Amino acid sequence: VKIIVDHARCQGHANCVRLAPQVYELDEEGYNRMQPFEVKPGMEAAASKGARSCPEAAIKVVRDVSDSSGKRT
Amino acid sequence: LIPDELDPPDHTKYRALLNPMFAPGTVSKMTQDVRAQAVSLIGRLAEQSGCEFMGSFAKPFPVSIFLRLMGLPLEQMATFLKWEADALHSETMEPKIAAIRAIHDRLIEAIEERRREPRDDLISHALKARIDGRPLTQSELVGFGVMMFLAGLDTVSSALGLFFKHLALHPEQQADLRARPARIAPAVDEMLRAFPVVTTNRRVMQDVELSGVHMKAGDWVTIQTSSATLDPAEHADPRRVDFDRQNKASGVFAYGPHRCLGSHLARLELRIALEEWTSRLPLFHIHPGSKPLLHGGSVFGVDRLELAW
Repeated sequence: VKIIVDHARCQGHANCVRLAPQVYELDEEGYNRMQPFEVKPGMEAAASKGARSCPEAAIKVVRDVSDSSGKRT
Repeated sequence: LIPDELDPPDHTKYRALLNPMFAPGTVSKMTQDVRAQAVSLIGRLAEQSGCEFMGSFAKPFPVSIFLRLMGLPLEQMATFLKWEADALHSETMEPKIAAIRAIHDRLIEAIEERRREPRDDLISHALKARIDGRPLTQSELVGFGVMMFLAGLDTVSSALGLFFKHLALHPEQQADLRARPARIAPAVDEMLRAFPVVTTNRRVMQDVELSGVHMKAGDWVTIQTSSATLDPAEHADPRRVDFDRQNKASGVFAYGPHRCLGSHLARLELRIALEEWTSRLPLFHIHPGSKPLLHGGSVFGVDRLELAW
């Protein structure tokens, strides 16, 4: 599972970090500016929960590497 | 008011200055301070068997945090509380204007002090900030200060009033938080959803028709936050307060570039207030014979809340 954060959409709600602190991190201004990354094994559920909580739909969870269109959850 | 009443790209520059001061990482470093203020206010109540919650805690608590942030002396609490009441709740214009002028003058005095002798507070940080390569002007600095004063005090006080009224009327939920303090954080989110206090204004950018209502570019629209947070299409049985609800994140702090800057600090203050009350004072209820007094307006809130324990 891969996570892609749309930096332009992030407004700093910080829901992702509150719900999945082991997966997401914010920069010092309070925005998620993480580069695309692979979720560590066992963290998939937390990653999805954090992504779903984003009110700006800025976090994309790509479940299948061959599915380049991804899925915004 | 800067940056509330600006739009990008100007808004973005001002907001970028403020963001680091209120980012989750910065705010979490304030935990000790915020807790100390809560403990000190609650300490005075421990020997009593009840209190008027708004005057004893809900109002002084966020004011004390504001004074700490700005590096202003806590001894001035009573003065600031009076200014806050006059600025936000006067029925005529004169006391409002006088109070805002007094806050303005007090901030200028503090800015001059920090110019001479910088410390580790928001005013000193703002003095070091640059926008388009230049320092902030006096009126921009005062504007920030006034905005923080107006935005951060009444909102948190009101939320505290509504949360504590709910818990006073629902002893089973209060007992639940006492037994399992880890549930306080989700309870804060759920009560924020159930009792949003702020009504926001936005300007219409282009002519639009929405559900048969015509709006013209330039019109101001007042948006009741609860119309989203209590929307039954989004939240089943929306008026029921349920700490186990899954989709508690409700847009109570709004969306987009104007999303509430102080949301992380507000959540921290609310969580700590609940943690310290439930661990230091017994189960509280509404004082028999009294009735909570609420008010509407651009910030909903509570005038009087007599608690007993």
